Amino acid sequence: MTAAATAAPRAARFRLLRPGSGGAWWVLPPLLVVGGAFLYPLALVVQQSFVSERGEAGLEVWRTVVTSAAFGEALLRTVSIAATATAGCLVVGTFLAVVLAFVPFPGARLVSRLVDTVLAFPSFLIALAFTFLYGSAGVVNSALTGLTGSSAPPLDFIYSPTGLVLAEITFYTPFVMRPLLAAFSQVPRAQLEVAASLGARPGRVLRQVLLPEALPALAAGGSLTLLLTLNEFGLVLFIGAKDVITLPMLVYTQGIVTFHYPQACVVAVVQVALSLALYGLYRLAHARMSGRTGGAR
Amino acid sequence: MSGIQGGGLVWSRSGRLGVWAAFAVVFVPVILAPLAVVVLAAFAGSWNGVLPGSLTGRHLEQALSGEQLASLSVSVQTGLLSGLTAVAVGGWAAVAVRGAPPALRRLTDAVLHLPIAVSSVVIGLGLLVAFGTSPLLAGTMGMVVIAHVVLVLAFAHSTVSAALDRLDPAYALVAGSLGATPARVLWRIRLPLLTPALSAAGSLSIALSMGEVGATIMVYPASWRTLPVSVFALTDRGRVFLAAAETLVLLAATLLLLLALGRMRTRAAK
Amino acid sequence: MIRFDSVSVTYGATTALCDFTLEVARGETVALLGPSGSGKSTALKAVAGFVRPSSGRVLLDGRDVTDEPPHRRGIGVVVQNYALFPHMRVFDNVAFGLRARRLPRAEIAERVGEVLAMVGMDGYRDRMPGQLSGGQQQRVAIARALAIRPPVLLLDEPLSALDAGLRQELLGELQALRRELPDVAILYVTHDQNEALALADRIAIMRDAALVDADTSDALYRRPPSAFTAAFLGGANLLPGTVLSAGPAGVRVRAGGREITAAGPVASGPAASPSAGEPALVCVRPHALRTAPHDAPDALPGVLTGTQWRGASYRLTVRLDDGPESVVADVPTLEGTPAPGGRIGLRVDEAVLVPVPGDSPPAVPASRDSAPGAPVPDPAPGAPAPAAPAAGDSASGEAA
Repeated sequence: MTAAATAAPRAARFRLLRPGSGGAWWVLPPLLVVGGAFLYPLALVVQQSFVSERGEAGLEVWRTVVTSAAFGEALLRTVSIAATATAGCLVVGTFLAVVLAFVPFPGARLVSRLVDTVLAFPSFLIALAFTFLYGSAGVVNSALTGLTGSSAPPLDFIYSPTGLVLAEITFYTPFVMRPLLAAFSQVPRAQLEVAASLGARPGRVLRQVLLPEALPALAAGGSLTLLLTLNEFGLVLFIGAKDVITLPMLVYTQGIVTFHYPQACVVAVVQVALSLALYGLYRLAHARMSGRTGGAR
Repeated sequence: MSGIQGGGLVWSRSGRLGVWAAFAVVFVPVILAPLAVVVLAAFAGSWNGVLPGSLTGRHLEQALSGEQLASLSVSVQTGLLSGLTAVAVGGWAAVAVRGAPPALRRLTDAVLHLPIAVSSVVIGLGLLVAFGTSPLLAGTMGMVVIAHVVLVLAFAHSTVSAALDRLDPAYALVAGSLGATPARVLWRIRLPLLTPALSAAGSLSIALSMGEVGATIMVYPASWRTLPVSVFALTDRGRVFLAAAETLVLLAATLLLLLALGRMRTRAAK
Repeated sequence: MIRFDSVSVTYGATTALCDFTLEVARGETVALLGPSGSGKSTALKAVAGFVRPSSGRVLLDGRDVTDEPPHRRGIGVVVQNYALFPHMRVFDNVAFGLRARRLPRAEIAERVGEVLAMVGMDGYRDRMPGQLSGGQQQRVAIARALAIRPPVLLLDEPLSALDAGLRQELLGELQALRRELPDVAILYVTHDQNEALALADRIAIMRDAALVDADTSDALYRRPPSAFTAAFLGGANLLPGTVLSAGPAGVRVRAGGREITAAGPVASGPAASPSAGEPALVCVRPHALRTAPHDAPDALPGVLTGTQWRGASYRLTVRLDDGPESVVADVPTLEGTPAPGGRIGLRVDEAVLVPVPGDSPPAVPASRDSAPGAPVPDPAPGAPAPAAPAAGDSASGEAA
């Protein structure tokens, strides 16, 4: 009993003396910054969503927004676009990463560095590129009309949900590749050689050796991509397709274009709830991934 | 080296060639073509066929003059200001959290990472709701900088945090045993050893800030229009070639900033 | 100089050090020897202040430092991978502790030069740690610890990161350094018994977070007080047996199918005066065994299961007819030795046989007053067999 009683204050005192610490209150300043610049505004958004434009508290705004056709459509669109784009990123990213890591060619290293660079680019770059590549007077359509001789542009997807999905796949594929490449670099080469010497074909090695190893990275990269595509705004804004409205786009039009703050706040709250649920999933996958690599060390 | 015997997965030469061909078919349109086409468009006089009809430096010249140049300057200032703030706040949190009790540590980590999960537009909306009528912040560049700091903070923090995890705790312990106070250990040992991570965090933050558009477009005042917002205005008006040129300028400016930062780091190391 | 006073360290639910009591005198070198995970590094960290004891006290020169942070203890520490500050030149590394003490510039330069010369690294003061070899880094790490003129030097596996040849060389240098520091108390953590035997005045053997035995190296080797120490220090064979009688000529034990007299020196403690009928272990060093015909009356009979050439000698593995364990013997020649699988006898030099306490389950009371030479009671049927030596604990059943 007495030992426990004296141990507690000693523990507290000792922690203050640990090198580089200085106790619990040192974390307060950054917490205050995040609290003031992020949590407080977010709380106000939630609060605002329950106050009508006439200043009455209640669920009135929620009722009008949630029952509106535009909201339902945007919600459905956001989720389906994010899910399709993420699936596409996983397929394309896995293929590219496997080749870069295990069937390398001269210049493969340069290519993976390029992939790293693309990660830091703004997403609207892709929107811009898409208009030049696939727009009605773009490179691909010019080439195709040159071949077929028809006057109407044969490709016309850029202002459709498909166009947005393709643009998001283009932009977010590196986000899947990077954790995968990191995970692949940990796979011992000898393991593949042994598998091959035992008579396993590449497809079998891929399925039974590489992919299980890369699963945590795939989960982490995939859930991050899903999160980012759910929240993507720049691409949607720049492509500017009239009938491809997602939740972030709805927040923007309600908030800035038509100045309906309460409505914008309702959409924002739904958006945040959706992303937070996913974010929890991402942290889980991430924790499991780092737990695995940590255990392997 | 992995390259010697085909990396260990596909062993036959024809198999490898097939895989490489497939790689090119996927890689070129997905990663390479978008980059190439923006660069090309920045120099295109007209572009109605497969390749630009003519090349010109006019767009680039325009992108580097007048209000476009002002936008560039705004973006660089915003990037530096918010990048450095984010590294300071995020780095501080990463270091301080190690002396805190586990529960507080988990809470801090979670709170600092939270902005990743929230759409930039929502962050912008929140700032508008919270400070849109504040006499101190409304209509100032402060709104833009705050938005950018919030958005990049998580990246800065996790970069420094990961480096701290990798840092051998023995350095700090030994320094302490030699008589250095915690403050001295931080200043002489930990921070110097963290310089590469701090600089990497700064580079990442600046790069992300320079390309940010979602929150900026919600909160920017007319006097503080960042380059991405200008690019949007241009594309909206159909001036796509100038928009491409400005995007190119943005990328180049980012790259130059990061190179300069890397330069400073190596000089500091000497 | 250093005193551990019932120190325990726990990390969450695991106990890294349990009720550890030990003293290191001024000018003495004590080696903490034990397998990995035995708590020896934790004990060192408790002195350095890198971990906080959950109970007990650490005293330095009579002063309770249990709650003092490392930077107020004034102890020299050399950690396993040296932890030379990679962004500082050798000079700045060594000067670090002196600058933290705000000594005048000239004195710093003088003292750095002095300790660098002591470890033979004077010519490297402008190098970065990355430009040094492992052995050089180790020397600089020692110089850095010595620069603050600590009364206590803690060395945590200082040679384990080096390859075998260099380790021998630096072991010699450490011995020389020891002579130059007559007043410093040194605590040396290692898992390598050769380092411990070469450097330490006393050895503290650790296992499962606790101290097993502590004594001079010579005493621990010649009269191991416990089965674990006997096996860990010098790799002894431990023959399980039963005490027949104990007298001034030694302890008579039935082991290996023969009656033998363990006439070697006996450590004080429970092993000193065993009673008849008690289980005991007889400690036989491999080099104290010689081959003999399997039917020789004074040899322990068994089957040869393997031979291994070790350069200077051959190591034989023999499964004795009596008892489940194999014993190893180091013999100079294979002459007269059958092929593996053949029968063989092992003759022991009774003068170096040492009885160590066996682990008797406390439930079986030993008859203390049975007269010498009285008929030996067979172990009760169903009574647990003596534990394997490796599982034997420091404390005998009686002591527990």
